[in-house]
Amino acid sequence: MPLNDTLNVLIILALPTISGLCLIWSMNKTHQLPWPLAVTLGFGLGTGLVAQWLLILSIFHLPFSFFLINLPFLVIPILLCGRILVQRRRTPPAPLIEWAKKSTNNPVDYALLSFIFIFVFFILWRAMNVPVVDWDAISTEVFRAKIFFYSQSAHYYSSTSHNTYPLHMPFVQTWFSLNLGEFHEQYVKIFYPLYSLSFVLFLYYFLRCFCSRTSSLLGVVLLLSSNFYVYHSCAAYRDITIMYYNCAAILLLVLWHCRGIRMFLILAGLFSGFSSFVKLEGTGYLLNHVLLLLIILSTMRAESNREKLRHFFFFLTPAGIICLTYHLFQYFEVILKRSVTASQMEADLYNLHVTFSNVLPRAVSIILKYVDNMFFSFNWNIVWFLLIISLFNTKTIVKQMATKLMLIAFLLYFGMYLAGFTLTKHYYWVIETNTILSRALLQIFPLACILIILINFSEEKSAS
Amino acid sequence: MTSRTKENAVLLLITLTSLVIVIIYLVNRAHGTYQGFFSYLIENSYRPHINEMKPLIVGGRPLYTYYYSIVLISFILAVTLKRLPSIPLFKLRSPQSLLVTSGFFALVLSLGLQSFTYVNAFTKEYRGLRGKSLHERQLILNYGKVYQFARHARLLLKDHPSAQLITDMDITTDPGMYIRNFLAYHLYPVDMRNIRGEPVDNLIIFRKKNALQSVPEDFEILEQIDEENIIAVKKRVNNAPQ
Repeated sequence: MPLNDTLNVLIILALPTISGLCLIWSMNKTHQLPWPLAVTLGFGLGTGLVAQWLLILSIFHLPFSFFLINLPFLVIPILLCGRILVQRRRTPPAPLIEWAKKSTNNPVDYALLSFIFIFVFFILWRAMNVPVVDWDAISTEVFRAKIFFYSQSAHYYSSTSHNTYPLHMPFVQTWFSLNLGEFHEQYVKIFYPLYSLSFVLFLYYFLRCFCSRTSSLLGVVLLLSSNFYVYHSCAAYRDITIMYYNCAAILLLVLWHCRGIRMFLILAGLFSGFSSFVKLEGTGYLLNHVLLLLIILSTMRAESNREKLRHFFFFLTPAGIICLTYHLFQYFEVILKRSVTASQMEADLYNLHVTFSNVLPRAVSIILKYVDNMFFSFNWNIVWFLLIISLFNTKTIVKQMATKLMLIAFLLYFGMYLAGFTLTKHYYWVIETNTILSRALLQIFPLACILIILINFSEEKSAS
Repeated sequence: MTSRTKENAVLLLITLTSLVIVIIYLVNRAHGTYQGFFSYLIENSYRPHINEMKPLIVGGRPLYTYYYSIVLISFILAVTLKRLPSIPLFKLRSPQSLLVTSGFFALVLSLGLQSFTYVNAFTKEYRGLRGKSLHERQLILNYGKVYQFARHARLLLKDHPSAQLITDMDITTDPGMYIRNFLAYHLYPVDMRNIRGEPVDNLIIFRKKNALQSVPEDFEILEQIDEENIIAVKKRVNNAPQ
């Protein structure tokens, strides 16, 4: 990438990231997050807001003019910067040490860092050198961004193919291209490695709250050891984006429960809502997140019901508003207008073709497909195997709240997909083709890496 | 060195021994050479696919089966040592801990192989793409010729933004479906998928036998690229209002 272009791209990406950062800082008055963690969360929040802002413009049939698309990302930092500075002068936030474990230097770290370097370098190089060629990208997602870019609006949304798919990535890429001034076949791919590597950083800092530096780095290596994760980090598919929002929402809920920082709860709500705007299954993930939060609230015996209700609404308000806005837009813009219903095989949340015949044999064949994919494909290295043998350590699992919550998130995820694949038309896609199972697993895979590390290396044995 | 570090070193040694046993077994089974075996692994261990990376089959079984075997052999050897009263090893460690540690050592072996395969894949791609512009990279990737055609047509059809594809390809299934979508993607803003709902004012006759015969009377040929590929535009009616 030429230097001039690099600077342009960095400046464009800085806009939403700085807005996200300002919002995070203004929500969190008590604790100082490490800056890489704040930036990764700021990036997720900022790009999520970009997509939501373009959705709002589309609802009101406003054009994507340069001024309009950037308005909030110029206003937010201006409004919040002064407030944050004054706030921090009055009450300096508690340092990182309060919520991250101390660590000593370990030579193993260097070996782990070398592996990480190889994988990260490969991701960045491939993502920035192989242009958009992937099936879904050229057929729907990136193609849609191109259409929005040329029309400077989402006017033709309902006449694009697979118009039931949510619009997070097309909107983010449209916004980026409009700022860049051209639809660049290579640079529009930058979001995929950025979501992937942002999550890598988040995973590291999440683990640092419970484990040593070496164990946290090992967690990162586990994640990057997956060929499928690495490949999707440099391909133009939405699965890495929804993985970011889905897993980040779960991790933020766990962090909120273990560290009591309210900003994490609100951010979890926002990320959960954003996940419903990336892919259709995001709405299912949102329900999973709500169930997880309810389970967390039920364990908080010291809190009054009124306080629990407050927590619940801090999460549900942003998540619900984002999800509902999209579905209403979708309903009025596409579902009501379309003359042809979705085909038998097309993914459509409003047309699932639920069937209750042969449930047991169908469920068994789905489980066998899962086993084959998780343990014998070339997708996941031996991570699922490591998770299974780690799960024998029941004594540690019972003692750690974070681990228990992760396991619950896993159960909710597998429950949702087992029901979804068994009872709906998606059964065909799992059994007859290999198109969706691996990508569905990718969306939860990082939790397997985190669980392995927490079970085997967590220093919070007595946490409850 | 602490006793735990010593024990881990012994366990690593056991894991490496298991690895050697498995490699000897596989090479002998295939009646091949060690060099050939490792080259095969490095060349074939990175087979990227967007939906699923198929397992590498070695000796009739998926490669990861052997990693699981290595963990199992190491675990059995370590537990046997733990049970022997005369050997002061692993006495305070649970079998579960030994199993997980063997698992992590197997992961390190897998990571070693993976690093080689990534370096190998990078070197190959780097040689192919080094110093090339985006346009040149598009040309040498899959369907470079389709890209070239689409780009050429897009430049030709600046004033004719609404296209229709005429082809012999089966566009209801891949590769025809992918090529149709790829073409439409690279042609845009020339609209080949009726996104804007405008009347057709040009024809993309692509991979069509006797392409000339497919040009209707009310269209004229803008460019004939070869026998199978033609770009045609709607004839302007002379008395049409200006």
